[in-house]
Amino acid sequence: MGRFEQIYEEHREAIRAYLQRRAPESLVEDVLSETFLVCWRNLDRVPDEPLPWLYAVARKTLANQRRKLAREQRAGVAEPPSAVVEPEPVGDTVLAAAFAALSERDREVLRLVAWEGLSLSRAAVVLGCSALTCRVRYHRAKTRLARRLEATETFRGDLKGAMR
Amino acid sequence: MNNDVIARLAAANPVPTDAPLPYPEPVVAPTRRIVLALALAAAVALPAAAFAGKLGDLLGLSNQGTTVATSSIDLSKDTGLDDAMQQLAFPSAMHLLGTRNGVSFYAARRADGDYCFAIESTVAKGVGCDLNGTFPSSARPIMVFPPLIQFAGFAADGVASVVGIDVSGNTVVSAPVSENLFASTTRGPFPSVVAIEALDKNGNVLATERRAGR
Repeated sequence: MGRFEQIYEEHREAIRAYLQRRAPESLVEDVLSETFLVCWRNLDRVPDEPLPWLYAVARKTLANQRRKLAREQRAGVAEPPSAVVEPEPVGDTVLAAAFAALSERDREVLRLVAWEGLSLSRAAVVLGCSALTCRVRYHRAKTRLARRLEATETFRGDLKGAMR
Repeated sequence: MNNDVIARLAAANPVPTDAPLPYPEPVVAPTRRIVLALALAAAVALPAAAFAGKLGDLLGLSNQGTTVATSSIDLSKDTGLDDAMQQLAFPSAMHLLGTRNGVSFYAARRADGDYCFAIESTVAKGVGCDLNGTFPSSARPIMVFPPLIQFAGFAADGVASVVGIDVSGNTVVSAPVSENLFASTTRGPFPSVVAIEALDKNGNVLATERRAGR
């Protein structure tokens, strides 16, 4: 098995899950294909540990796809707005609202750690920043989320029963 | 608290993985104190099925308010809240229900029938929407929003005042309800408050909402 085939077999589902956590299903397969096309074209640049690099490619590809959709929407030939809505944290309405109130930068570093299970040094590769910067971003994002949750949960009352 | 947040977020993963996730590396806490944002977001509970026609009918609130463009509301200029409003698909127009003691109250209905609220003042701002909620109802005639940063919120018809009480039952803070809205003249936080009571015009307790963990 060649290197590309090995990377594809080992990491395809991880990249698919990464995309499913961030994009509607209508975008997932296209972006997944594009991500591995980039991998194939740049195989000599793929590091020994491919997954964070692949996440970074998927992240950029998804961002490009969203920009393209936004342009099409402005031109009136677009997908409906729901096509670009990100999946949110599920099963926890309060968390979802607090999470949605964070900036995209905060959300992404938290997702990488909590959902992809990346270490901060690996998350830094995905985000294209230094490990130290990533640590600071992560800590700040986590604190902001905790503060928002703390404020929203001071009184839960019936809200608890309303959680999905 | 912070690590609990990550565990909670992990539990809400929309596409969970079968394999256990590796534990993140230890975090070096920044020495600089985080400046807390006053902008808050809260999920609030409202019965979408109850909404049919006028805003007042839908909410069980008599106050109809006046229509304003969502983009004209100051809190929509807050980046985090604007993101949240877009994520939550806030409608382009909202109803300004009124202003009490410097707090402005807004309500609106999304295209899918879910309801959204917004509140803003110099102390706190917040946005939130629906989901399977019980407000307003006899069990939950009040909604403090955002919770206790400022003692302000929405109240169903029939609620004359709202009070926050301490563990001994003493009133810590109170506010009269006017046109379904209330806001205290004093500002929070009110850490000794363990519960909030909704009172009718005769001072009878209509409902009590206990503070989580108290």
